[in-house]
Amino acid sequence: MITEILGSVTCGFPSPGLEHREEPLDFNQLLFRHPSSTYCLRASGDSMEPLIYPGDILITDRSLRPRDGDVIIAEVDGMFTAKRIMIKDSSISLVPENPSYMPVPIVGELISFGVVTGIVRQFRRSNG
Amino acid sequence: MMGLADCNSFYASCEKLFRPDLRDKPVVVLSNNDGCIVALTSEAKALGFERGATYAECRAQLETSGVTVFSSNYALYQDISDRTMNILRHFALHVEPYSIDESFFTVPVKMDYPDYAMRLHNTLKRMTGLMISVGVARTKTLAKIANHIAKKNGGAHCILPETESEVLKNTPIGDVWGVGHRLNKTMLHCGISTAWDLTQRSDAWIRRMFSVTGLRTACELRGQICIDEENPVRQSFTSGISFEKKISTIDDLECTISCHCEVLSRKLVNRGLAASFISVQILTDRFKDDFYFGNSSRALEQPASYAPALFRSAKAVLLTIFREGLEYKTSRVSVFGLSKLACRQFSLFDSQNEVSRLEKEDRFARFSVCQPELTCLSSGLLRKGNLLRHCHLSPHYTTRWSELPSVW
Repeated sequence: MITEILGSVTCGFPSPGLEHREEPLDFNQLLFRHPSSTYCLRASGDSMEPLIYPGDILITDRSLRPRDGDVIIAEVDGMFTAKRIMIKDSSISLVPENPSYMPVPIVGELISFGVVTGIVRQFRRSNG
Repeated sequence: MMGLADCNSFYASCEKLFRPDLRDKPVVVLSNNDGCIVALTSEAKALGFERGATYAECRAQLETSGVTVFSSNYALYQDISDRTMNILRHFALHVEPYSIDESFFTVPVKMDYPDYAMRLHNTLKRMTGLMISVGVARTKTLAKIANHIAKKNGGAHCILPETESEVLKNTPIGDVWGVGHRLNKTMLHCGISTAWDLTQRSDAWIRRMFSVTGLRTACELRGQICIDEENPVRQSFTSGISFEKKISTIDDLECTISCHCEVLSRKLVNRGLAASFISVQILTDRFKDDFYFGNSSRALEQPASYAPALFRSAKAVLLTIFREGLEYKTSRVSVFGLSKLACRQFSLFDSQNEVSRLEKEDRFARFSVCQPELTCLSSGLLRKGNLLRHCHLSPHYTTRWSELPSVW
């Protein structure tokens, strides 16, 4: 007797890798440790060269407390500025990387927007 | 214990977040279409400006007092709101967003509540850059009162059970959550002037006088949790606009109606809903003697979320309420009878063509949600900026690569 079966049959071996499939690399996971308190800011000016160039995107985490040597975003004279923070005893100064600029001593309270945790620099910019 | 986190002058604070030059400066935010003031910082309040004042009236005064004015930038506010709620979720249980700038939550475990409230306030301030008042108490209604107190002193306040009666005696009944202007009047008339007075009446009396909602408020004030609904399911959506220049022709009104239909369509599609009924309202200046309020509604041929389908019906409604020779100031469109689009039932007599047309429309509606530039020709006039104003719009700092804040 011949029984007719209708339907599709998958040919070939099932992939042995299927069970071991992992998620592709996710830059959000790498760059945004605390997504809800992390902001992107755009650099301009040359005071932080050769560390930061104009057009770089600064990934800034508000939830971190600035520590000696961190690059932070501070509010100075009503503007955001990226500088390295140097804490010696009780005096705080904001130090530019570029030697042609002078460090800015902080008198009174330091207003910090957040700590820069990374930069994104594109050689060929396709967006923004 | 329940908590309420509420952001102080939220819209204005969001605008200041990326404008260090505006620290301690007066700022106001205008409503949709730059109609009136909807949010202002304490500095602007100190100058005598008030919520609800129309922009046209106080424009000159704002300029001379050096107040920075913003149009509402909802993309920014919603992003900051989402971030804030997510941060709150790290420190609290069952976070229930109540509005764009306030959230109820449950305090995790038994702990030093006043200390928890203060620490939460400080942490939220550091991580969001916003002033967020934290109120903690046994029920949501009491947490509202705690939050009210927190706003006035220090940003955090906890009402412990043993201090409740003292606090309630000092809380005017009109300040209680759920007691609106009218209910306040009735309560005062019945001799209830403080929250404490209400808690002392019998349940039967309260229920008879103020229905079950009044009783619920009383129980909450006594420390029994009664208000537990998560956000209720939306029954309707409305889109409205007040025009800069008065409109007298039906063509111009149609443009505004079409624009509303697009807004509503996006709202429906984003939630996977379809509307069964649509209503249109057109109003002239309500302070004039010949005030006219045209209002009518009708059922849609089929539950829909597709903007042109909404517009077809809205246009027909508009024709029935439009009166020649009047100067219209406001138009509104509402959709209601909302149901899940997936559960739509086709009628027995729908042809196959009709069914596939509706499916195409659904697909197009879903597609157009991601394409803000895609718009109905019928609303073209609005897009040209003839009617819709947002002259003081700030950048989308957190949602567009091209509009990131600058650092020097």
